[in-house]
Amino acid sequence: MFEVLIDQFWSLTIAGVALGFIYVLVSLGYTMVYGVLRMINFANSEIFMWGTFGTIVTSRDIFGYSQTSAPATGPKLALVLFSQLLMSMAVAGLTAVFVEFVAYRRLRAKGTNRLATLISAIGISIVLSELMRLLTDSRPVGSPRVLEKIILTEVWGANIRLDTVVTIFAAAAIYFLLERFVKLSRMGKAIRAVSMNEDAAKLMGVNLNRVITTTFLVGGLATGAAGFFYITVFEYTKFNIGFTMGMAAFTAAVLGGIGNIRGAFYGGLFLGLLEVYASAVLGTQWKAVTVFIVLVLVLLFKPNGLFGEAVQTTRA
Amino acid sequence: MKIRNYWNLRDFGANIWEKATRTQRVAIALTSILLVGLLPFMGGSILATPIASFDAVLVYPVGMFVLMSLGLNIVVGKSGMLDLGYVAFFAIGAYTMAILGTTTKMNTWEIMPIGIALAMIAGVLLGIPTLRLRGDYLAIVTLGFGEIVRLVVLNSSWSKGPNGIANIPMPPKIGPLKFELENQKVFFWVVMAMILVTIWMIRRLTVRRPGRAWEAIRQDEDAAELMGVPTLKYKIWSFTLGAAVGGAAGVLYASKNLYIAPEMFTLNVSILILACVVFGGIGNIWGVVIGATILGYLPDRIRFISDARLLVFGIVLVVVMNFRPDGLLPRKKREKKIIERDDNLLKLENVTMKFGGVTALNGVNLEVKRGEILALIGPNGAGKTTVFNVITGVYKQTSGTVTFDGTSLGNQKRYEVTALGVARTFQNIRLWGDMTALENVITATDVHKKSGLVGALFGFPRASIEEEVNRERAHEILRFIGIDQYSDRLAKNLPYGVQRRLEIARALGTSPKLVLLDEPAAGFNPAEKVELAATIRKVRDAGYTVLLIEHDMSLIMGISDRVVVLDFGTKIADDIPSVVQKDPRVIEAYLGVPADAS
Repeated sequence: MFEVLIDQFWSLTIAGVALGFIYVLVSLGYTMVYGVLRMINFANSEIFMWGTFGTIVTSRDIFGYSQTSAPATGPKLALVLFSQLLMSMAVAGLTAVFVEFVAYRRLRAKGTNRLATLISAIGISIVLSELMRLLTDSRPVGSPRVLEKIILTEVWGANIRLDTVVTIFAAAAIYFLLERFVKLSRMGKAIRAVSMNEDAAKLMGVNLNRVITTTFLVGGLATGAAGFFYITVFEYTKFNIGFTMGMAAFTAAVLGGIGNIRGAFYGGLFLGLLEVYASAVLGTQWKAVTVFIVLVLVLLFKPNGLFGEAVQTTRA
Repeated sequence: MKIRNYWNLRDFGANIWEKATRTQRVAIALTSILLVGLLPFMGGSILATPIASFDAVLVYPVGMFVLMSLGLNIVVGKSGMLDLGYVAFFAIGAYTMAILGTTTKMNTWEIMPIGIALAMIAGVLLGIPTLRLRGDYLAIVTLGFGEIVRLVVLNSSWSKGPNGIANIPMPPKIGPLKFELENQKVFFWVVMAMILVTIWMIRRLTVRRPGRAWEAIRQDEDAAELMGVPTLKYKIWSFTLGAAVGGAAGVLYASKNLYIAPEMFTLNVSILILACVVFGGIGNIWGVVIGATILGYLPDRIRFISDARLLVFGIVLVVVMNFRPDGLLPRKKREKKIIERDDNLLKLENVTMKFGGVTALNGVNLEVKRGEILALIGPNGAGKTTVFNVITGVYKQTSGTVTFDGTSLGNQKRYEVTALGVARTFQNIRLWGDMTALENVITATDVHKKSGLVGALFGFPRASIEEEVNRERAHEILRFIGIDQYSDRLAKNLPYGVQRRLEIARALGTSPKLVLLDEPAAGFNPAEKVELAATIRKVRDAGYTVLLIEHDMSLIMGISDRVVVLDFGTKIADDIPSVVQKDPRVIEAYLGVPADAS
């Protein structure tokens, strides 16, 4: 039962870390919005899905790559990858801002119940995924291979592939940039102020609407970046791909302590590793069950998350 | 200017219902049930669904959605717990039906209770550990639970994994009603019956202890617990009842669909059902029914835009939630309307009473204010007792109006006047002599009793409870008047003074608003009169309004707030006692014209 895990421990670990960083970025989309609004950004999974399409559209339609064309090299490779990343982030960021405007803003201004907001967010995520389904004819969309999946080296019997390495380092870099932003920038401080005490923040001259829009934007950018890495590693997307990713990333956010940025980091990595190890031991089909059981147990016994500091204990 | 809010359907419906009498309510309910029952025959009308057959759409999604939404509403709407894994119970019911239906000889109706029981057990098992969590955390755990159930079913061999289970038997026919795939009317009626049972259950529970406990938990769980509500127990109950409804829906669904597979039980179903609840008006049964009907029906109705129908569905959700965040029919506990009360409890306007050629009352105007003691005096034959008889419905006035507490009197039977809140004593004592004092009072309290002869005969719970309550109340009244020690004596054997006071006690037994006392002090010695005065004040202070006929001036002047004087059927004075006492017309009426006057 454990042979696979023992045999391939290191390659599993590397795959888990790469997957974990993708989770980290998507769960930022949940955790940041939750920190500010104390609400689940239900549409984040679809924001991610739109990001993945942004990535593919860039390489396929702007740079003219197809499934059969040769991967890029040299400066061209850097240009294409960078454009893909930017496009994915832009698409997702704008989608997130759109979601905030359409689904959250009016209800928040009215100060009405949280359930209405939740359903409104559910509505907008149905709109987003259905729109993409119609645009793509319900078909999966493959991505042209831009980055050759070269095996760079072998460490302890594990193949280190280029795309994995790029994902791990670039995603980590983006995560730390965002963390710096929230920690040091003026807007970042405003975001944290609002998440700690909305009223006090308002009284100190923080423009609440701008903070919330920015929060959605930043969360969207992170989620969009994740979309790019996801495509780079898995090279495929579909209109309903958001659901599984959303569930996992959300779980990661909760594991780390939702509302807490550092928590998303730990939670994402933990979940990524847990998933690959669990599939090696129990088989891929039980992967999701393991994740949920861990989630339920964590919530029952450490409801503030495994790594998080206490957020609020009661949320009506 | 008052703008009528045509969107306020809730109050519109509730108003009709509130104004309706019991018979009208039964009629409304039966007509509605009949009309809904006839819905499957409307397939040819504008309601028709383009692709799926109309009666099939009515069963699933519409009927099933309504049923499940009502079940989820117990959890989310009544006790405020956000459950995102409701589909799990639906799946448990469906798989119970599928597995038992294909491997045993049991039929749908035999499997139904098993499916419900298993769903409830799952509800308890999930509820005990998780219901300590609140809000979003609970939402996530339930969501996880829903997914776990689906994934287990998807990956297990007993459930035939992703292939699902086929050849599930249909329900056997009920009498002449046969279940058919092509014609699903009977399925619809079964779903309808299940919906009605669920609504009945929710309505019963809502107005009783569980409903109050849930409402308290929803509004402030900590306060509820500190006020002695066992919150975890009631939360588990709520969860389990919701699960039972979901399980029942699942059993019927499997038996209708003949085939089930894990892909039918995704998170999307939970979300859709939750959307139905919130869309229609969370916590409001009728809102939920309407919401589920619309959201179930809409995608099938707009199939002509075929592919975009879910897109439209999403847009509808966003728009409705933004503009009606509490749903189409929002929950709101309707406060009983505070009736603008007239200061005057009783009002006689221009009342004339003629007996043949004799005019007993001639255009009398009289007002009795709430909470006062009003004395009605006058020489013999002035018409005082006639006033009492007109008010209590013994006589019907020849002309003029009598208004009591907003109701016009004159056409009621005598006991109906009493039920409205008028009670009297008699100048010549008219107790039921061969009954005990207590029985005299209990008989009076019976005027507001709902149960009748059959209930008494068979000891229906309501009859027994009312009997108990009235007996206790009668004792209380006797204590209040100060004659409880005589309660088991026959009325005819009581001393005169006690009999007079028992008359007052009996009048109070009818829970009146206005007590008419006809010469209560007749035959009393001065000491008894003092005691009586104290009793009458006590009655007034307890909130009753007293209209008193009396001859004893010292008693009247001592306790009355106002005095009205009648002479030959005409009112000649109406003022506070000290003024009336000095009124020359009054003195004239009683004593004749003074010698030195003219």
